[in-house]
Amino acid sequence: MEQGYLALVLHAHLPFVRHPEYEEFLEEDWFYEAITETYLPLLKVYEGLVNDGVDFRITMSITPTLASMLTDPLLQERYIRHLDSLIELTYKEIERTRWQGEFLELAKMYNQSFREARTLFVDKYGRNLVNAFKKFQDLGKLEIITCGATHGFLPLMDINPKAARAQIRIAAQHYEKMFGRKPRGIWLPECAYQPGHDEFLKEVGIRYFLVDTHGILHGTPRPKYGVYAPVYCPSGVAAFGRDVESSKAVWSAVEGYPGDYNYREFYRDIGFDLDYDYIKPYIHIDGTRINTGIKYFRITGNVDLSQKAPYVRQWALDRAADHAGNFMFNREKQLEHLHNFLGKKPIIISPYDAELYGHWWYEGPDWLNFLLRKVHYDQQAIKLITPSEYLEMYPRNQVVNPSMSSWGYKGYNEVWLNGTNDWIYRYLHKAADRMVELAADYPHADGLLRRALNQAARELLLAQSSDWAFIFKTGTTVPYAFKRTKDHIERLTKIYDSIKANSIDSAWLGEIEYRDNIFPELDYRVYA
Amino acid sequence: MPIIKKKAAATAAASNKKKRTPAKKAPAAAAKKRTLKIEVVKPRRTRTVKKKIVEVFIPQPGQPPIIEEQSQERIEESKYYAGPVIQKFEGERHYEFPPGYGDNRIVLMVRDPYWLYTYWEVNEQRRREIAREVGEALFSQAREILRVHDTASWAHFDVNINSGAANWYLRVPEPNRSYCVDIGYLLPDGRFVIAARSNFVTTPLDRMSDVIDEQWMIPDWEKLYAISGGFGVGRGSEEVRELMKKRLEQGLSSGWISSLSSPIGLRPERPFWLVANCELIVYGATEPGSTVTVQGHKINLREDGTFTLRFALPDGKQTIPIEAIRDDGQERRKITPQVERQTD
Repeated sequence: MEQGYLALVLHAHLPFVRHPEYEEFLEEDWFYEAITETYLPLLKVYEGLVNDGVDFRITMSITPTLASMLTDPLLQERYIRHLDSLIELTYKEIERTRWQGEFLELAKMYNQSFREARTLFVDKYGRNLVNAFKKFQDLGKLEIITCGATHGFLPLMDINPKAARAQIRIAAQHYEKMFGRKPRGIWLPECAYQPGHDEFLKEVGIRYFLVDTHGILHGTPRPKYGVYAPVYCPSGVAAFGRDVESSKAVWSAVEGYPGDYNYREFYRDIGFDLDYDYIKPYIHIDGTRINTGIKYFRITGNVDLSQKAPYVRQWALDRAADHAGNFMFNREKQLEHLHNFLGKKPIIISPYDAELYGHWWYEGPDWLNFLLRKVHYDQQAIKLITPSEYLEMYPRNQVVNPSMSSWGYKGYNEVWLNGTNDWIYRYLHKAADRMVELAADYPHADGLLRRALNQAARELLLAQSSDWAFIFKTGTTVPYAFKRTKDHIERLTKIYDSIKANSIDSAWLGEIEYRDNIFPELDYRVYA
Repeated sequence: MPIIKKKAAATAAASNKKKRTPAKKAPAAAAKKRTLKIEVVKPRRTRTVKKKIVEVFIPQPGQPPIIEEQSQERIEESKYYAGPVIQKFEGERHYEFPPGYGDNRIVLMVRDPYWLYTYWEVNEQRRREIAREVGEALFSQAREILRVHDTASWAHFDVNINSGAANWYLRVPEPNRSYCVDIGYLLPDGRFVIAARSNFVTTPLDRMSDVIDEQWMIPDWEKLYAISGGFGVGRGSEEVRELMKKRLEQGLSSGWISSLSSPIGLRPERPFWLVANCELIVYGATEPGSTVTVQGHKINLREDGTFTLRFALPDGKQTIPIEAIRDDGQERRKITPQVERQTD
């Protein structure tokens, strides 16, 4: 008999990065790498489990921006091009490393893995990974939830509530189009909750959202079961809180599994290691060295990058199996303990970035595979569940107002509001105000005006992605974040001015529609 | 048998650059300073004796970005990481964000239980209005300040701001309170004239709620069932509370936050270092359409019958038989270079 429930939640998100105006675009690689290293490996795990009759439950958010990219023909085509180039490189690598056994094995591993990715992507899934994930939702194994339309950080757009509301409504509409039913749950962007936003969720029929631990624990009144049972906002929408212990096991730099010395080192990539002339055809088109995704070294220890030792796949897989066993054992003990302490079956919510699995932690999908199989075969205490299944079984829960919170560093809004990025809000807020103004001024637009209004909404949404503020904060690829903020604000401003002056440039608008083609079905009146 | 001469000419290069721009600097540096030449002489061929120079690139492994204290953030960051590259977008139109919109407005936002952020714009029209109201003489001596109100008690405190500032972080005394802020002018006689008032915001609690009344709901979405009950909180929460408190203390000890800090972090400097690798290039040509094997593996020829192979060269001796067979199978040619690498 189970002692309680475990809900594994994976948040799959990338900002909308698509540049048809460039032949190749560096930041599109985020997407290609995530497909090869995370999305396809996860699908492969799910396929294997279903084929072997292993029952499992995973909750996964697929953000509207990611779903849009996964179904975009241009990006699909470019992904295949990207993959073909990698496959070619691995053939050369198999040759080059002929006398270096340890690297030769790895070159062969990458060759096989990329060729397999191609077969899955092209032949098995017909290039459409949204449908691939949907299949597992339809089988009842996966619960796919939505997110803010462009992952906008909702508490920081609270000055204009219609902007936050539009993020939710557009996301819900898009989800329905993609998955053929209404979303039951939502991953609020960055788990950032602002009291009152639950009303927006209720309006579109969303039953639950996820918050960080203190979002529940600091709720009012005190939550009787801590984060081990959901609570209802006064609107009736449920909030599930993150469990700290299971989070730390994976996320923590100190205690977390991904830091194991046998796992693959993320920062050693042949794109930087190998001779320039040799690697040039496989790096950025302008000759800039970038990651290829082919990495031959293991973390090794607390040593300089140049001192890393070769990766040994089997050792890494052995560790992934050990870590899966460890995770399961700890959850069994945790659930038993909580069950005794609370006097009811607890639910443990373990949310992670999906891209942690595979992209950052190369062995993450293997770990997940081992874990789900072990949970199915080797134990009784844990029952895997999705939040909506839990709510079906346990509809009676405490009413608590969750506290404003996010899952970012320090738990509130600071990651997205600090000296590096605070300047953007003046422009984002003004842009939202202008959009609302336009929607109010032109309630029944059609033709060119309607196109312009719809495009203005797209530009606002794209500017609002929390990714840009995050990048300003971390400093990784600042010029790009700046470009995106600038481009979308500028385009919206131009549309606003031209509507006001009754001089919409149809050709220019057509170009912008072609570039920023997200949400083709969008109706600007969502801002009315 | 070919003779291998190895001339090590690797010069160590100390890197004292804070950031590297791999596209331009690395290859140039490799060619200039860190080249190891291997001459492969093939005497038995009837064709011209070839010399092949193998350039050895010394890798500078990709530097990780700034390591954050919080590992979750570092991991999320890897999503936006394709390598230590600073992308330039040349040829794009220049666009300046406007310094303001000519509005008269102040906006207040919550950063965390103890900090708010505000930005504002006071337009000329409002300034002139105020000047008329209080008189030019008095207005010229006025100080622009922020007045922060607790909206429950309307207790307030003032914050002096730098002239020309258009945004500010505000430390507020208590969590779980509602605040608003005025931008305005403090006159020498003590009067305060408001230029604009902000929206109201509520800061979150930084600890468990003192409210212990329980309400329970069965979500048929409309009905509320309230019942009374005992009190208890999951044991884990105390630990989390401590953790949260620590997080906040870190935040508070960092002091005043400047809005002017650079968005681009500095990368740590590298100490003196050297890496040397060795690769061997075998290349040649035969009649197009022939079959060529190298160490028994069939290789692909280019359309013109040329081929290039590249091998990482470990220590030890390598024998590399290269055999070509004409497409009709009637003719064969074989060359067998031997290469030895020895690291002392």
